[in-house]
Amino acid sequence: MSADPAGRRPRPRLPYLLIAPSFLALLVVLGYPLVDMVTLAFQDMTRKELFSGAAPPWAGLGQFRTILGDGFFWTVVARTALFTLVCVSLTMVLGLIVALLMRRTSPWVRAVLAGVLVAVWAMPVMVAAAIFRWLFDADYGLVNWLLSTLPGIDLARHNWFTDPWQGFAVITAVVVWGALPFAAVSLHAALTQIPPELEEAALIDGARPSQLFRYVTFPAIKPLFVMVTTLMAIWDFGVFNQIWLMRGGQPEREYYLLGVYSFIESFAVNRYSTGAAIALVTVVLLLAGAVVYLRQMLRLGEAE
Amino acid sequence: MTLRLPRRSAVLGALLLFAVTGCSSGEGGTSGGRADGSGLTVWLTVDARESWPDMVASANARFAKKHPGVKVDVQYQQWTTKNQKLDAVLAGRNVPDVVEMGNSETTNYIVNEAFAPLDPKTFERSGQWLPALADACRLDNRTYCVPYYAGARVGVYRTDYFKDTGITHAPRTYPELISDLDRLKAKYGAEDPGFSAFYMPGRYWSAAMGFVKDAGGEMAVEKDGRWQGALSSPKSVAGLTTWKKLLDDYYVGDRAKDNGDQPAVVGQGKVGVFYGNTWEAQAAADARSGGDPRLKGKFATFAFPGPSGKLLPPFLGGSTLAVPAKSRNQELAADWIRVFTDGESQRKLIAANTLPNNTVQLADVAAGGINGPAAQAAVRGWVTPLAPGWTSVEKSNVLPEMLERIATGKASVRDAAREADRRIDAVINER
Amino acid sequence: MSARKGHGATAVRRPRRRYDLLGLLVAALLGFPVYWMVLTSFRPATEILSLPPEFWPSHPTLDNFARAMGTETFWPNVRSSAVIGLGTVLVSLVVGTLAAFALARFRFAGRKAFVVVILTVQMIPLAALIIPVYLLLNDAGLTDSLGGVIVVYLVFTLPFTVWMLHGFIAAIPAELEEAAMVDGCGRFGAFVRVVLPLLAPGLVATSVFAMVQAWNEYVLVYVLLSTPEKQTLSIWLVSFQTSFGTDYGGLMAGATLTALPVVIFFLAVQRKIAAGLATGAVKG
Repeated sequence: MSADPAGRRPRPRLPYLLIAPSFLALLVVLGYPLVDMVTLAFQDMTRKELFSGAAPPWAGLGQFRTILGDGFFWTVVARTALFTLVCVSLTMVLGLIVALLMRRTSPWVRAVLAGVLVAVWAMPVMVAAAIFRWLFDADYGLVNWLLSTLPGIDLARHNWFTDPWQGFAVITAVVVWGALPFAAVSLHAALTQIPPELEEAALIDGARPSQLFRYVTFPAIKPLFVMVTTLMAIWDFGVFNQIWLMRGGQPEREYYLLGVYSFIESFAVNRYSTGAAIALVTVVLLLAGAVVYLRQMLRLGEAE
Repeated sequence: MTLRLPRRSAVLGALLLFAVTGCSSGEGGTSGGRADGSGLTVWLTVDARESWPDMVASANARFAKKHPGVKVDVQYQQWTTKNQKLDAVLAGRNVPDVVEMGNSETTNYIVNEAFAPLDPKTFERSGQWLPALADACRLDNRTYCVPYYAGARVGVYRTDYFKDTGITHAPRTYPELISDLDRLKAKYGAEDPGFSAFYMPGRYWSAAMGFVKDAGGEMAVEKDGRWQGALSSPKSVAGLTTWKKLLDDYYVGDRAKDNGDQPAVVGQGKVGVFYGNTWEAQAAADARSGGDPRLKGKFATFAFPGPSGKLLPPFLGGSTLAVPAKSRNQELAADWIRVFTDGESQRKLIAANTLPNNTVQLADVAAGGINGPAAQAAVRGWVTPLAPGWTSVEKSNVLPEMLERIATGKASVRDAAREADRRIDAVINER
Repeated sequence: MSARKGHGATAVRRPRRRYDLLGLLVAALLGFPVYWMVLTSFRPATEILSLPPEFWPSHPTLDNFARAMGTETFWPNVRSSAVIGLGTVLVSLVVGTLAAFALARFRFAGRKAFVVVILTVQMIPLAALIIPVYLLLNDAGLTDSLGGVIVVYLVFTLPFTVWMLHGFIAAIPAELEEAAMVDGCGRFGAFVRVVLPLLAPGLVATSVFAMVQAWNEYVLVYVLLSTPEKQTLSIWLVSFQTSFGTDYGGLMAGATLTALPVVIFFLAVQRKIAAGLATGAVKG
């Protein structure tokens, strides 16, 4: 893509004016809580200090030493990374397939698909979790009943959450199902932005559909694809609601991911400082993981 | 059409207000109590709204007579999310004037000076408060909260199943219970592999701990001012083993579940006997909690006999009411609690099939009715250890996870209990 | 895989029917939980948990809706949700589009830093921010006010909005704008007449997202709002899960009612923007 001369024109004030409202909002509303959170991670805050407003004692790097020295923490990190990888891959691949499919169907089927996607999207996480939990319930769940009608399978009263692998499969299904509409709708929106002439020209030149996708369609939506992937990765890495709700607000240790772990430490065990430290480490880990991508994305952002 | 455009002025106003106040201290919000003493904010949990709204209304009416002009704003909280909100709110300046606390939650808040001390003598029947609730309110001879209501679990059975099996009365001893369960299992379990003579989900910790207590065991003990887990003591292990045997013999359902949807499962009709609160028997026949209205009138309760020969000691759940130390209306708040827990209010609670906060009125319940067995059992009631870190133990699910490992056979009773003790020791002394 | 199935322009009809079939299959699969929700909401309570299940309402009833809408705070909560949802969407779209435009069209010192901030902000686990955010609003006197919630939601939807819109704007060739500017439009005029219409699908996707976020969030809003009438539908929904068990009929009826406005919002926004696209007339 060629360099944009308009962007090079020296207009020093305009971009700053444009980002100013966003920047100020973030600074004012998130600035103080962030400083508070970081400070907290280096202290040892209990409910007593929280309620009285007294300054908690400093703990230095104590919280981090405890967390990083705990094998369980690293198990949770690995689990979170794996979970994120699986969820993001599934969401993006399925989302792309649905988006491409929507371009090829009749308008009325596309409308049906769009309607279903938005309905899925509009479903509150709480309700989605309740429905999936119910569908997979051991005592009156639909899934066990359906699978048991197949010959040779008896899943009556099978509990999907006894084995964390199966449990996470169900949780992954909820997460991917819930995230799919966003991926599909965004990718479809990007696909509609592609000038039809571009693809027509390639077809006339004799490109096979697979080549068309690889050399014309995908490159055109790649910036958005990368952006959606990044967001998915960030969100899935911090997933909390689905696990919390699917496990009835009492997730077993086998179901801890970083988001859940941080929440439990803060609000269940009342170690607010440990919770804050875990949150901080989460951000650092995500940033470290993103560094590779970040470079690419910063470049992407420049390519206009 | 449910969508209405927001008044633009509201949005703009909010932004403006935000721009003006920014980070600095502005006017106090209206979230909690009003500083001017014109109103009280009361946090009750949803149980009051669902089960005894009359009692709330009548208490408020009587309070209004006493203090005309004081507006009482009752806000209902969910048990699952109440404490997160309370933590955040107590850290701020505008706090509610009265909060309802579960009796196993109070200790940690009292230790951390969240509540104002109260004079028990100014409350009705404070001398006869149920010890299980009153103990949860005391620290170093001072009282920080007032018992509100109690609940004790009992056995609940299907009267029609009992009749059809030829069982003439509810079990009075443990061997009787076992033989009844055997007969139910033989009759209904043979036809339907999904039938549980006794319903006991694996993570139902307050039931399992009843067996531990019955065997003379403990969850945790205090030694020289420090608490430590006692689940792996021989007596505790014996209790857990009895519990496990009951599951193995009579329960075919999901072992990784807790009792949260017990009424809904029982409402499916495949359960002979279960262990629960009196209201769960009604909930199992109530569509709003997933039960089956056709089962109305087919449940009866009995005081659950323990293997020891006495009644199985029930976990005495319950609630208390406290005044946050930051409340600006502490006198009024205490007075509201006074009205809300007086004899009249407690009578209304009893009418709603709930146990009162004192032993005197407990005797009124025992006279008969569906809640009678609960009142009987309540005398042997127990509470969770009053250790500063017990809430952490509960919130980090040490007990349910231990039980699930035992119930599903992932670990032996002894190993699972040892692991649980280790986890209890790690947090139980933390404030 | 679907890309490989087309066989040139001659055989358009057959593949399209196959794609239609596939599309309907996907819709059915994805939509099943939604269907189950709606189905349950029309079912009498006695049938809801019965096995073997029924996939069609044999005795449809409106009891669940009556019970759900009969809740005292239902209508005030609808209002609250609408104010918070629309407020968040409007503000974050306006503010976000500006920043997105700056990111996509200008190169300036601090640009990369801003992108990093936008991304990093979304990585912070919510749990760690609940208490600090509450305290901040408490100090500003904005707890228990819908404006306070909008401001907080704004910072959670804004990074996303900026990031997504920036992607959509970057995909619009800058040459189009330049052409418009040469034709005598100012930069603003060029933006409104050229970029905005092309940005429409992106705006729809982004606004629906912001709407859904604001509409369904319940952890923060529960802590920030205390007056029952001010609370949102997402909190109202939680009340169907009581300590007595889950009122599936009521919950599903409530969820259907809650989801409906978002779907309507999507349709409304889409139509509006489709109309805008026609009048915007990029190439005409």
